[in-house]
Amino acid sequence: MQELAKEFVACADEVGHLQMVKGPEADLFRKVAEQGHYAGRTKPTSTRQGIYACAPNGVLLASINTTNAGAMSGMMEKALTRWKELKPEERLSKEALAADPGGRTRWERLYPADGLVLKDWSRDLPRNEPVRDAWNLDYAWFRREEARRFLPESIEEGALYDVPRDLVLRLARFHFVDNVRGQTYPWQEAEIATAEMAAIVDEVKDGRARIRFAGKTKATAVGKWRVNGFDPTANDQKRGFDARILGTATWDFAKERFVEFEMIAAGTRWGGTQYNARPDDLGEAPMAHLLRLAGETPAERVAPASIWGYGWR
Amino acid sequence: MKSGNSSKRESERAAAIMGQMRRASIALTLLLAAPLGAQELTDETFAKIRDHVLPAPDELRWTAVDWRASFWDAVVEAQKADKPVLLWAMNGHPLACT
Repeated sequence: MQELAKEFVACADEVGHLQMVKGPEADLFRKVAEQGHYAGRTKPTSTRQGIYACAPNGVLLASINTTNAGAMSGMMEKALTRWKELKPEERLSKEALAADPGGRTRWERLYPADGLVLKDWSRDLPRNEPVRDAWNLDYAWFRREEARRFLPESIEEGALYDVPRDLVLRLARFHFVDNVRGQTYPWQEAEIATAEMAAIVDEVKDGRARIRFAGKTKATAVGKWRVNGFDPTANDQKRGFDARILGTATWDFAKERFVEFEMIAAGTRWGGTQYNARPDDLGEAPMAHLLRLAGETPAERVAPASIWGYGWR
Repeated sequence: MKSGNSSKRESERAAAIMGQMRRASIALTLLLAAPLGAQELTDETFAKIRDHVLPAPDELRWTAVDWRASFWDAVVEAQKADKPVLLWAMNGHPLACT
């Protein structure tokens, strides 16, 4: 399949965004999707999730929604056959395409290239009984001035420092969530019972400072909501995550940025939300998030899932 | 006997240390807190938990494809290269939280 993929320009994107927003990118997606496997569908949802092969002018070549590798390869081969049947004027846009046309809304515009960009992996921790293995990935973003505030104003060996609450809150509310098996909601600020983190400067040497982090967060929510996908029943529910935080990082004085960063938030989670696939696993169980520096490839510039809650403009 | 200047410097240093200690109240509490249980995250369990959470190479085979992170970026590139577009569209960005 990786060889077949080289015949295409491959991309991945968030379907809800493409279905809802205005602009040339979303318009083109809707044109493609309404020729595809979910065209016109409204029940159980109107999602247009799936894998699409299309020409740059929006002509659909093939589409499918599957996790089966064989079916996926078949769709790609069918698409390539169809592509070869089309003349250039039947597959390319007549107008030149602007790289960043007006009216296109993307959170990626706010990517903090000179700040702190972290990969946020999540997974359940081992239990006594077998557990369904799943993991997820999100990104956590901090702007340059925010990244600097993870450290004391004067970075001196032995300095102890309380990391500002707004930075810890961002992690607690939008990242230390139970997304292991699927999408979930961030925490409301009022649901954060604890959000504390400290930094200690262990060593300053050769233009770099070595930092340790320690902290704790606790989020709890009680109410009535759905926890089982398309099941419309909303019952009394509770959910939470009680975590301890440890981490290490290296700050480069010349680059004025972190060149190493590794942090874990591990603890006990409970409850579920509509789409995070926990209806059979609502009790207390261990879970962890691991934060590490992200690379700078296009695929690693995806905006955080809940960036809308950051308050960035 | 200490001189007035020396005494003043020592007072200022003591005040600075006290201020730092007050500011670091959370730090001291957290850094010195004892672990609560076997599953607890500690300096000793850190590496084991990190290695458990990190995906194995088998779980990252999808990253071998040269994914662009937006549909439009791929469309523009495909138009220039006269190639078809392959789009993976999911609720939650497929290259991150899904």
